[in-house]
Amino acid sequence: MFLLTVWAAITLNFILPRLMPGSPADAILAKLAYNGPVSPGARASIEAMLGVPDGTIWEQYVNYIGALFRLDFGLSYTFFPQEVSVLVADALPWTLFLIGTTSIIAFFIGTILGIFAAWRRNGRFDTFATVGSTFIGTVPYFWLALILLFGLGYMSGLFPTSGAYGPTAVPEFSLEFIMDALYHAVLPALSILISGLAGWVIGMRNNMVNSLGDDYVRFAQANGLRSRTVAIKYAARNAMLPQLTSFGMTLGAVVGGSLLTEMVFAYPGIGYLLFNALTNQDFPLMQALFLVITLSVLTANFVVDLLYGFLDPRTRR
Amino acid sequence: MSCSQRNSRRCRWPVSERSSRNACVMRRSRMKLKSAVRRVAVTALAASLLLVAGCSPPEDDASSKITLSIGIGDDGPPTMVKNFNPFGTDNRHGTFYMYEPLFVVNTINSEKTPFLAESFEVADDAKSVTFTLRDGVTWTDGEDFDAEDVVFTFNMLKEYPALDRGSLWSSIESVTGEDKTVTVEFTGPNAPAVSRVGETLIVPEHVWSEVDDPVTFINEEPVSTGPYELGAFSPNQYSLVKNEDYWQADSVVADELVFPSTVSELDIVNKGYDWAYSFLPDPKSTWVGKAPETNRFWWPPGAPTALFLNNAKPPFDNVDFRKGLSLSLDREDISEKANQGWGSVASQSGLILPSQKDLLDPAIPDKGLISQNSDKALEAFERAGFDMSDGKLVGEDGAQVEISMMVPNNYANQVQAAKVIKKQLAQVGISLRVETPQAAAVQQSLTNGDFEMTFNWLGGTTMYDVYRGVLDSRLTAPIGEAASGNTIRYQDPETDALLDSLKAAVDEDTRTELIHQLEQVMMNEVPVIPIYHGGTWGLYSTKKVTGWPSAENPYAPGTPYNTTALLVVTNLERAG
Repeated sequence: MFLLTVWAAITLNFILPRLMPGSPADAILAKLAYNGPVSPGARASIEAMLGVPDGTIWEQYVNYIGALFRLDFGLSYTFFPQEVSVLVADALPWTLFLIGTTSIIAFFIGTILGIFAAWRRNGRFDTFATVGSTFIGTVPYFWLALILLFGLGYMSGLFPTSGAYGPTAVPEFSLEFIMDALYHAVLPALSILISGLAGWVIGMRNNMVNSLGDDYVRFAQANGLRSRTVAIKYAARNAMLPQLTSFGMTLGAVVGGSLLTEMVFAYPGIGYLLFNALTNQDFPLMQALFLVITLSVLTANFVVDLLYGFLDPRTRR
Repeated sequence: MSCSQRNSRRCRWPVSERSSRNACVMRRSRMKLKSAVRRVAVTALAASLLLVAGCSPPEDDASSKITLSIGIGDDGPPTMVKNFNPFGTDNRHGTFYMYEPLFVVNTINSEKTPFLAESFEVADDAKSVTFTLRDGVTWTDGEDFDAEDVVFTFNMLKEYPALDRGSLWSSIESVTGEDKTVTVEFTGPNAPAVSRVGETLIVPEHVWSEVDDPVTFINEEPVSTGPYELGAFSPNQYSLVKNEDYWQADSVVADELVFPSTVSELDIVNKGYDWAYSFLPDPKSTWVGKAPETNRFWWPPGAPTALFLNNAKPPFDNVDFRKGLSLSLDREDISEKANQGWGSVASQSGLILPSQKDLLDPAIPDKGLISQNSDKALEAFERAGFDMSDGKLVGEDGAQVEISMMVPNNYANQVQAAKVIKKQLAQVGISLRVETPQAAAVQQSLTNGDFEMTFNWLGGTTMYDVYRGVLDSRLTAPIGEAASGNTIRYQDPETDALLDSLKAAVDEDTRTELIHQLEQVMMNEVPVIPIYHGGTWGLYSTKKVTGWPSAENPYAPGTPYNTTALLVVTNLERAG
């Protein structure tokens, strides 16, 4: 089943870019024309540079599948002659680092806060957390990000407003560079954390309130178990299951990057790369990115399915 | 501006002393380490005051070295690929500060400034041009520059058509050279090709002959002849340092140029670049207002943006219909709204006015500026067989005239212009449908003739190139096939003959006379409708250097991303 889905994704990935209007040469011409008139004949030289796909559509498909197994995605059209695999490899760590860590942190903090809010429901904390989360949940993400950027970036100058590292820094493994990267990640991470947290808090609280009303929880309480044990081991463990499904999907989507985050903060991750690929009709880059994204979503779902069996003994039967 | 940026600017090195450069890098990294640690600690406390105190302002050392920051956003976003191949499509703008052509053409007035060639002479029959190369020019690796480099460069473009962006070899027969003389033979009389040949960037034979495939070569360590060579490169920013052995090193005052990868409009205003290039709304307050003493801008008109009409498709195949369309438009209004008050209306002649006023045929009324006149427009439409009925312009079949117009969705000013045009055409009873696909899709439709109306540039190195690009029937193709030029599919043997005469004309008066006749074609046939001049958006600061291009001294258009940048960096002077 998993393999069949992968095959379908790979095939769609081959077909979709070819259905888009405008060829890559048109895209490059349009990009050159943005800066000024382009001379007649420029098109011919650009087509010579990119090369025209060989053979029929079937031969192209077979070549494409073959190249996938060799992890050979060819040269990017936009960043010609840079290799697609290099571009993706450069962008991926930044997305995993920024979006990955913040998503995991947001999930854990949000879930714990949700448990707490549900256990002491209608208390002062619950009111604050629920109303606050609902409010933040309705704020469009880009607006929140821009407010942070403007307030903490431009107005106060506390944090850098763009990029993943300082202007003259070269990526390397050194304390200096890591500090620089962390410093640049503060604002984008904060924006994801704030907007991501809200969903987890509300989701967990609602699940938890439901399971608190269930008979087995009352039974546990009636048996005189400690309230913490009831909350964590009985109610939360069951309320956790739907949360985990969404967490799996979120984790899979991490690799796709957060397009908006990366655009607002000019962060050199997968999301921005995908945006560049799409606007420039960069087929090779697009295909590689879609592949990486679909594969990671599929794998994440697969792993969550396995985890489910571990957390919920009923599914093991 | 962050701490590290300030620190790094204070740390500079002479080009020849590689060892001191290393020392400098080490010193800088220690400084950066300290400041990074400090920064994180401070961030944790979120104490902005401490941060400001820990980051001392840059020293104002006007007497020593000059570093200019150039805010164009070098095709980052968000990080840059190291690519300095002069013939690539994704090269960094810094390439144009390192490599030199034989001469640079100022697009404002077509004046040619000699660089690698001291002088040139076009043969009387316009079939060849001979360049005399400059003496005493060396490549940055110490080798002498000579005719072999020039010949090699051109032959490389022949061997790899992918590099020949200007399709030079469609008009060149051969390039030969010896010592300090290079002769380019054309396939036929071709005076306008001289400009395109002269503007080709020249690369060193001893380096490029070793390159396996110059098409995919990214040229990470450029060996060049120009005023600058590559300094430090990081994905977010790179710098160019002055080439001390440059043949006119005396004319270059800036010791270092810094190019960041991304630049937002807020950055331009807040960070105070020395040379930025961006359209800012209301520059008098947004840019000059920020530093009234030193911030300047000069936005001369550039290549006209014109309505391209598909001359092969009815009703655009009817000249009277095209005239009616032209008379229906209020160019002032379109330009005002599309360019937020900073555009200027373009002449139907195809010239950029006032900079090309010397080429304008005095017989053309009102300099070829067409004003809106609904009555005359309706007369023209009537001649074309269309009548006004019930506020709708209808054809012989009784149906209202409907036109579709394509505009790339990311060209905000063109989308705005299309909206205004839609309103204006509604007044003469034409229904305009505005479509906004991606730029690539518009380009494809244009190339294949699968469009009715769209915006495009009316431009080229010389007036011959401008007119050839839209009028030469030998460049076009039937609808459905890709055209290399003349995408409007205009066909007229007499115009072709005029273009050929202009191509062969060497004498200045003959050329002007022929250009006048082509202007008349534009006026009488209305193959395209020029609307407003494209802008050039140069923003300058005179804090460190003066002598930027201006209305009084229009020696360059002020675009930092092409060869005219060479004119700017060799014309600047130390401020104060």
